[in-house]
Amino acid sequence: MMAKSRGFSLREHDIHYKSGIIWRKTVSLPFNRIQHVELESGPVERIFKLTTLKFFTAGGGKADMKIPALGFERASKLRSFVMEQAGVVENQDTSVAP
Amino acid sequence: MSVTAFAKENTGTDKWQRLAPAAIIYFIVKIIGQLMKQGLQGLLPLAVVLFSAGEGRWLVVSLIGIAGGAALLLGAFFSYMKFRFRLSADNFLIQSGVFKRKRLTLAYDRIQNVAFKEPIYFRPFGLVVLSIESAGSTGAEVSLGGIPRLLAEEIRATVFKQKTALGLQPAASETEVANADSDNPVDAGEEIIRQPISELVRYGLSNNQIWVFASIAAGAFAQVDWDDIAVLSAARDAFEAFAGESNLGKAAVVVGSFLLGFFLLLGISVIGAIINYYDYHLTRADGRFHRTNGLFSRHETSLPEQKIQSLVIRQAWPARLLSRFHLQLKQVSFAAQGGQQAGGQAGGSTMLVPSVTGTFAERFAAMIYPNFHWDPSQLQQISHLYTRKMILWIMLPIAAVPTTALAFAIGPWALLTLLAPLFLAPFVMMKRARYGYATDGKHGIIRRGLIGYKLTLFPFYKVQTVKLWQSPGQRKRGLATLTVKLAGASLTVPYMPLADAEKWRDTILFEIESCDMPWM
Repeated sequence: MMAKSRGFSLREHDIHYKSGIIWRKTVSLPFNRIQHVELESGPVERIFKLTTLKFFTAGGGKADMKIPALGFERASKLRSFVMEQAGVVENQDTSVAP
Repeated sequence: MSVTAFAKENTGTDKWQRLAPAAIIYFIVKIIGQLMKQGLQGLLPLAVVLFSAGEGRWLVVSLIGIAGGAALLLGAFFSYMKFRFRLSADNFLIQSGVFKRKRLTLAYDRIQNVAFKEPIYFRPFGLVVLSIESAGSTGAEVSLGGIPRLLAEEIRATVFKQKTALGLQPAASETEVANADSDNPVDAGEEIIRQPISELVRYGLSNNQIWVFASIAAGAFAQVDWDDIAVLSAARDAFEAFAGESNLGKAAVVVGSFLLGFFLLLGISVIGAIINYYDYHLTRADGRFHRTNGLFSRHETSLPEQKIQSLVIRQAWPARLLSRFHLQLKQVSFAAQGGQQAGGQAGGSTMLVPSVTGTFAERFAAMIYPNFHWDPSQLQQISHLYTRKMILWIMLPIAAVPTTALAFAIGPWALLTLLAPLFLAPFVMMKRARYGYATDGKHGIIRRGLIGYKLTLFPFYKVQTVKLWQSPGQRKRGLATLTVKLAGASLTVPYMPLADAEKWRDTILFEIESCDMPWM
């Protein structure tokens, strides 16, 4: 039931993550605001070969979005996809700027 | 050698340069400052000597003093000798350190801001301290203490020129305010405001930082065992003698000393404001704000307009009485996250415009966000369920804790403490009424506060993330709590209608994703 209530969705320009059964929370994060991405596996996660993907923006402090318990393969795929998206946007930005 | 000659000789060259000799003073001050910061534990041995050396203690102390002074002078001298800097085509290089050599390379495009400071001891020499802030670092910024003003200006020009050359600084925006009909005209976009001492006094009277300080100080004083301090028992004797036996006299003295303390604090606040913001003036040129202020040490800061993350218009409760507002231009900051709640002591990352009138605040906002027309009356309020939640779910449980504790002690009367939240209810209602939000599709405005208030204006494309949060009760009634995160501040609107919250989120995301203006 916990697992069912959580999920992420990717759109063309942003990523969303929702969580919570009683208190529902949705975080939206546009690709062109992502500063860096982190993969982290706790000891329990390592046993099950899972990992947590963390996204950081310039908002400071802790991770702005955390997607827990992803399979390792899937996590790194998602990471490279997001990084690529962020990079593409970045390039567009600099090419547009005078 | 004259200052101009010095500047001419030193700028534009790609050589290693040294600070002016008077920079030794700067290093002395810096070393002393560092010693103070690292705690006075280092001086503990000295105190031990002081108390244990007996007869010859003053000799020992003076010897230590002389040795310390000599070490300080030598340290400052070598720091000066070893400090070199160089401006190359796209980098700023610094070498420093006596025992530990430090080399620092700072690319021009990473430089966020260049600020001047003119401490009082540099004034006779015409020197300034140039500090360079880079992105991402809050504390570890570079300072060049003791370079001639002309050279400093040259360096700043070079840095900004290089940035422009690298294509990172977009051309200055041509947003100029129509100021034909304003009462004190903003001269061709140049000078925006100059604050006379009377306004600074108002600022001193009306910012509530001194009260924050006073409460901390009161907390610290409470820790001290007053009976041990001789002055105080003398004061108590004096008090008893003065007030006599009558309770009225005692009360008068207590009230009197309370008032005295109150005015003393106000006085300190006013003096502090004058020292900090003496001869304040703010100008604007080439899309950059430029501020000069300070009595003992002059500060010069410039802030490129595009770096402004949000504009905060705040009116603390004392400021209401004086009908003045304080404006803050927020920049990217990583340290100020926690300070957000504690009430605007965030230091370096905000540029403050103290004590302005309501009309000026409106004009200023219109200058920064020329396309954003807002009106405080348009602000929408949050749901009244916020009041109910605060009282039933937050305050009542808190009140319940002492109630249960007291119930053991004094029996059923303890239930009266449960009524405490009722007395607080008017405040919660006021707080709810202060919350407000409005948007024109490109910019947002969020207001919060209790007696005074804080208005934050921000363009949507500066937003970093958006978060929507719903408790079960909110879900049932179609409400949501919206958190908007800017670089350096996070704003929350509780209990706004879900439709509005979703609209805000979608508009913000659309703005971020479709706007190519750089957020930083």
